[in-house]
Amino acid sequence: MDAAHAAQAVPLGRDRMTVESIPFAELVEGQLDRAFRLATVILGSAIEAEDAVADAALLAWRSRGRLREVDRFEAWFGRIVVNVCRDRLRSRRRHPVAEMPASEVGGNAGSSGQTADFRDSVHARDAMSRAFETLEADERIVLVLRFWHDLTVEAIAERVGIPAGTVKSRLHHATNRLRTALTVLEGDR
Amino acid sequence: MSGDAGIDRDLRAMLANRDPGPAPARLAASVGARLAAERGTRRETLLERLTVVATAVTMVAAGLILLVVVNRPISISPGAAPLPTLPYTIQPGDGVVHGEDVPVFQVLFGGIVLIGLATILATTAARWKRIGAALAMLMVAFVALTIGMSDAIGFASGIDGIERGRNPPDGQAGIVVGVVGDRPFTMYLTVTNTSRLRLEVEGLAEPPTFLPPMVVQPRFVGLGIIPDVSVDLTDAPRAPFRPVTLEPGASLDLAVLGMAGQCAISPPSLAGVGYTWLDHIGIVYEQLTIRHQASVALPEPVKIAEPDACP
Repeated sequence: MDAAHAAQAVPLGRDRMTVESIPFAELVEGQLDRAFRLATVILGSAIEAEDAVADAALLAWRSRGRLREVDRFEAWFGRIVVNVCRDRLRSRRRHPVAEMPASEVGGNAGSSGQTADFRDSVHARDAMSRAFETLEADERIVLVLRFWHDLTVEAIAERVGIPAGTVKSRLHHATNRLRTALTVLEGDR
Repeated sequence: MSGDAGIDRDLRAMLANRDPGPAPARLAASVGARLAAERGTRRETLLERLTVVATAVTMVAAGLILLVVVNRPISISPGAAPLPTLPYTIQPGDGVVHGEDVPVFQVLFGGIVLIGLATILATTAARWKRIGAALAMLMVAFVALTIGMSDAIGFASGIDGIERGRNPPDGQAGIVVGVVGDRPFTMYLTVTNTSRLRLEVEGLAEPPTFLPPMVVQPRFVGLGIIPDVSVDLTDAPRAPFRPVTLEPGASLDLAVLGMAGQCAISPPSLAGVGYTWLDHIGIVYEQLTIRHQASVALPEPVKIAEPDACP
């Protein structure tokens, strides 16, 4: 994942370069893969993630005047993507849509010749995915940034725009809720 | 899966499994197209310009409102400055506000401010600006609701009474006017600014006019100010009315000239007598440049004795 992230880095070797000096579309294009993957992991839907990234690009374009340095574009755009995802998750609560099981999103699950271990791991992922879907939007986001993006607490705080203490607290509560949801789901099996 | 390590591992596995890999090529194309469309349309430019204009207009409007509110005339409520006093007798028409003031300019101004704020709210991406615009809209709404209060002036405490008055029979409320026919009487009344904004008392609402075939009814016809209520009210000097600014909670002592109406009687005994009465008085005030009329409820109704056969 880290290698993949690094491979998508924008060519930002120019120090203190202003936003105006690089075409905006070029900046966004350099972040699309990373944004798309992050949005998909948060939302659990690749189709919705495409829309979210497109919305985020548009929002970024409209508020580009507030970005002073190109060096900050990645974090700035990532924050917008996270915010758009959060809004979509909250909206989804009001307008629920069908969720895809985790085993169907990544495309790694085979359909034939499955071993018992493989099926167990798929069941575990499905249970985790369903438990994950019960979390609040903010809880999902910090978990994704921590356990998928491997960001530090401080980096998450900067990305989400909340104090580091709040990130820690949110991670703690999210993990507890995840554990509770898993216990309930296991009891239902 | 029960331990923390197990949860971490399963969570990482589940999230990794959600990772779809590189974005599909159509995403870059779709984002590029949307950006190009956004860049190319006049809408974006217009909205940006509109937002700038709306922000400027709103700022100017807010500044003007502040100036108007802050730089209103200094209070000249009783005690703040001596008013000219004797010799003065209130005459019908003194302190009466004539005509209606339609606040077209203020309504237009408020409308422009609201449109500007709504534009900012709808077009800006900055959260603090949206919050600010929403709060400003609430403030405008609050001001509009507050200045729309018809009870911005009322009797909270102070003086009330009638010169040439009589007490009603036991068990009856109010004060009875002791004049015969359509002759003057004087009522004392303290009014208080009960709203949360400064206002200016402009005078007495214009009394109704009676056409010749109609019986002339009791009404209030003139207004004066009592600068000093510490002396006997009957002898208290009165001053010609002039607009007075009242801060929230401040009071103003008024002398109101009333006419008792054609049918007024004052028999030696009030037992069994019928009455008509005045229980409100119309006071005109201005608040935030808009003129209003408050119907001030009198602490006690002013009763005028009338014969049963009043035409």
